[in-house]
Amino acid sequence: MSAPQSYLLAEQESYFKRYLYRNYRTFASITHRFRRRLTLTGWIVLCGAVAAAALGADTATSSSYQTFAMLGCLIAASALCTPFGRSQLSVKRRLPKFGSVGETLRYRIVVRNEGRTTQKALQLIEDMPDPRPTLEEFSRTPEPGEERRNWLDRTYGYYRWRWLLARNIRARVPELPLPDLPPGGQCELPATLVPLRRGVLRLTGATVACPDPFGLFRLLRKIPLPETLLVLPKRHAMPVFELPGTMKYQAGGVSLASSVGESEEFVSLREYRPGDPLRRMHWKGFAKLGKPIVKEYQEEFFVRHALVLDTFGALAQEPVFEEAVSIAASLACTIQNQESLLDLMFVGPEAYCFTSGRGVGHIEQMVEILASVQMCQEKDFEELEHLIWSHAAELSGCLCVFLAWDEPRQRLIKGLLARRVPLRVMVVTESAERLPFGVMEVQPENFHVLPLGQVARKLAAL
Amino acid sequence: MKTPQWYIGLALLFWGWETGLLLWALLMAAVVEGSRWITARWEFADSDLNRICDLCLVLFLAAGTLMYSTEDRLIFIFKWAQWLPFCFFPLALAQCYGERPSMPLSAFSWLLRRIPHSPVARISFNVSYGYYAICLLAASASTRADQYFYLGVSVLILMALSSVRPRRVSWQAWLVLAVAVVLTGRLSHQALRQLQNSMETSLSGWLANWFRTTTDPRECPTHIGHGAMTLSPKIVLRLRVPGGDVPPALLREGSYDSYRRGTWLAGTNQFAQVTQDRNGLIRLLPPKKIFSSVEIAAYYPNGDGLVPLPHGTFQLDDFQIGVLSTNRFGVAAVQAAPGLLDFQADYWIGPSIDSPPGPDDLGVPEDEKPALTNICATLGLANMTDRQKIRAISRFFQDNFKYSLDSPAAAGLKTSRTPLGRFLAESRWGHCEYFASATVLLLRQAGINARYITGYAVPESARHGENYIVRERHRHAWALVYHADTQNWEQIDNTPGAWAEVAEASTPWWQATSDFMSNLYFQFSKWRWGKSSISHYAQWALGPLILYLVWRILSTRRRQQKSTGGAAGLPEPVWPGLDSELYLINQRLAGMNLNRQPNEPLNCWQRRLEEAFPGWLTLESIFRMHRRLRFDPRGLPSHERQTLRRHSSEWLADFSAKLEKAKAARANISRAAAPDLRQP
Repeated sequence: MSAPQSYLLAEQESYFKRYLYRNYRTFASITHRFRRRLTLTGWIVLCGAVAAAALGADTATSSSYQTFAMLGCLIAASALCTPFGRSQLSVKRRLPKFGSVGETLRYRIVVRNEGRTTQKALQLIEDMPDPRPTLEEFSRTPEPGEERRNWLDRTYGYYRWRWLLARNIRARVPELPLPDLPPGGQCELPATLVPLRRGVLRLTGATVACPDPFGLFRLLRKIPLPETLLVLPKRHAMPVFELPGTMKYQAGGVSLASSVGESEEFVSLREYRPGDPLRRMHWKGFAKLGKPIVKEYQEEFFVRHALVLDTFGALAQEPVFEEAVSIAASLACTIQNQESLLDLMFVGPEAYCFTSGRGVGHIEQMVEILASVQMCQEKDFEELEHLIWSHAAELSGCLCVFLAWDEPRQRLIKGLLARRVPLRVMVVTESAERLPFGVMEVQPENFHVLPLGQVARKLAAL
Repeated sequence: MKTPQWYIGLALLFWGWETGLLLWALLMAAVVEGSRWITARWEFADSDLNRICDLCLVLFLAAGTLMYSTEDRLIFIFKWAQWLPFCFFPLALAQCYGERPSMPLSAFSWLLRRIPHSPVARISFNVSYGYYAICLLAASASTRADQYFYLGVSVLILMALSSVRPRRVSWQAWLVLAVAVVLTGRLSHQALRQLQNSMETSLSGWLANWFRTTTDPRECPTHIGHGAMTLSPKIVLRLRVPGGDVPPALLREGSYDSYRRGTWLAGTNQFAQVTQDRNGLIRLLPPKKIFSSVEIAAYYPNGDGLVPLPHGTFQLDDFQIGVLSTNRFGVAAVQAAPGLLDFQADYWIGPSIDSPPGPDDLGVPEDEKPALTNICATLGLANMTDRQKIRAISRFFQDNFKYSLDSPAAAGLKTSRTPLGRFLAESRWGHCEYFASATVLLLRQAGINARYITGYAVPESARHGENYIVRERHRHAWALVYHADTQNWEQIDNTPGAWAEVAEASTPWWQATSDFMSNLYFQFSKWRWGKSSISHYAQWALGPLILYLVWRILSTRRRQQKSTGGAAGLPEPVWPGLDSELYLINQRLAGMNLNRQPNEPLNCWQRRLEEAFPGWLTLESIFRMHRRLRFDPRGLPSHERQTLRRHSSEWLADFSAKLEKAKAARANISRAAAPDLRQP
């Protein structure tokens, strides 16, 4: 195929995708509006009207047209009365700082009636950002397992659209019925939401829904109330985890984080010997004794582990990546690091290494970092290799959470084995297929395959 | 959301009243509303609810199939809709007599059953309002005109809405609005009725012109003098000739006697109904000994139309449904016919059902006479016998004329003659209507009675084994001539034989696909209209399937008798084990500081009770069984569940008895102590 022909085909495909995207977007918008504005009673009446209209198309045959006329007038009356249900409320939210994926988050909402009439039978709906994917997201993000779908589904991408839409819904928030509020009255209500995805959860506002006299439609009034909270990754219960490895010399010592530069553990004072650096001089002692006194330090040896999170995978592997992040968070929370250091290493826009333990950093901070980790599409796996090699000499052991078990990853593990770094390798897979041990066949007990859906069970059995 | 008491019963009675099924409705309403007093309940698992929904679907489809095969055309939809409360009655029963207050959405969708743990699949709701709506819809589908229908349906709809009235609206305002809606609705439905009537009146003529596809027995406008004829490959008739016999060459539909400017008309055209015997045999003439037979299948989407018959048909067999009538021109028409009419026509060569010739059968329009007189003079018909005249006219057309789908007038021939005159005198080419009309008028000019016939030709190319497929393009016209000597009408077709080749030449490329689809539709129509035995087998096969599903659902091992003891005060359980009798014990101990404290673990409470009631052995077993009932995913077997009930009720009875005894003892002590108190 010549270049202009392929260009034309690509153009046509892009037009087609754009056309589909616009259709899906419009349809999703209409569905969303209908779902919010129509009550369950409204749906039953609307469906009944449609069915009665279909049956009553010929007024001479059945009486359905009379039912249709009645239901039609009911719908019209409800629609006409809906704008009269205005309410003036102010809403404040008392939101915690953190939540966890899948865990019900409890918070409180303060509602105040600013109007002159008593407000009854109102509902409060939390507003989330628009979950509809962008055109670029729709064009470029394949649904997991999309290659197994038939030609029609792949071409029209409806399942992809639905998956993206579900993926972008970050929390499930039930509607909150409000109690009767007299003029100037205020109430504080317990509310719940279930975060569905880790990362920053944005709540854009609150919507007050007011039903019409027949309870078919609802008038929606939006109150802007932007707030955020951080949703931490899901953590699995794990037994106390024995990490492999021995103590290693740590240049910089324990107080690495609390001071800048070379700072080791202080042991004692002694007289100056030629060759001692001038900056170790203890000036107070020199002044007191009249001879040069220097500070003596002890070099530190302690355990330092690396928790390596693999961020290199196709976009369709997102469920696998999310599970890998959960495993990393579970490991970070389980490892007893009062007496050791834990380095979290991964590659995002840059290569990152965060250290926690022995007063350097807190586990909570590491979990917060994990809440925001994204898959890396711009860089290669070699970037992660460089990061690990630069810290390899200090590492007592290494915990690797991989998204695949291919040649680059096995090469990295081979290198670590060659340096005699104790290892535990965990590979998250989509299906429960058995993976070959590869380079880990020398230590099969330290190689774990964690298929989706069995991760919690397998981690608990570690 | 559950309907208030009596609502479903009232909706069922309204449905029964409107549809004439009042007895059934009374029975169903009694069963549904009886759930208020009958305490027996079934524990339906998700799989049971799935089966109940499947049963409803089977009943729904079975009702549809039954109605489709027994009722007349579109009416089956209304009858089907009327049966909806029957079809979904198992669902209503499951809701009324089931332990569960709501049903999961997954029960209604096979797709959601595959993902039972998804949030959508776990959405559950009470189906009572849905069933209520179904009853009203079914009542609306009644084809019986009832002046109280609107009032009834309005009251029932408003009753349902009043139970979900938002509290922010007062009763007075709501009632005013409701009355306004009812009155507006009444005006609206009257307006709808009038609108349809006026539309039917104004559009009927227009629609009739556009959608006329059947032959009109009163008049037949021809293409004479107009543009070219278009030929459609659509299959209109299917013929089967038993034993590989020769099929009739022509099948007559219409017969006309007057010609006026391109249109053939039938004069006195009264149809008389023909009686048929119980076996579906219709005798048009006395039976004959030597005859031929042909099976004809034709579509009648509107239920009426003309029946294509071979000339000389004396009886029709297997004519099960429909009213057949004939007129004096030998035209047969059917009314109230099924969508597909499949019958056998027996015909012979001899007298036919055509009436003897009348004065119109010799009529020749004045404007056509000049051309006809010239031809007659040229052929010298004046000195010939009738049979010689007929042969001469046939030879005249065969020798001098050619067949063409085009029309001479459309080819640019401009003279003062009529189109038929131009055809005879100048162009000498045209289609079958020219030949048939010219033949009839020439014969009449020569003094022979003749009629113009329309119908279908059955060419040899239409043959497919024993079957013949007649298409729209085989529509044909010919003449009927009366032999005075034998007093019989005989067909005469002077259209050149090349017409069949011209018609076949216009076969479109999609004909094979179209024929395949048409064949599928024909097989379906045969089944649909009872000419296939599959439907009978299908109906019989549904019975055992329905019985099997009912048996699976009502399997008695799941039936559970609700305890009539103290269970009445407990709320409906949402999760398994919330109906445990341990809660009754807890309730009973509430006033004695022995009930379970908030945040007190179950074990600690048990220990506390065992210390408070030493020697009460059943307490341990009650706690053990309660734990299993509440938390064991496998649940508690029914016999142990009974044991838990029995032990709990015994424990409560013992406790009450001992408490009474203790109170009595305390009262005795008080009475004994009282004189002491009164002592100085």
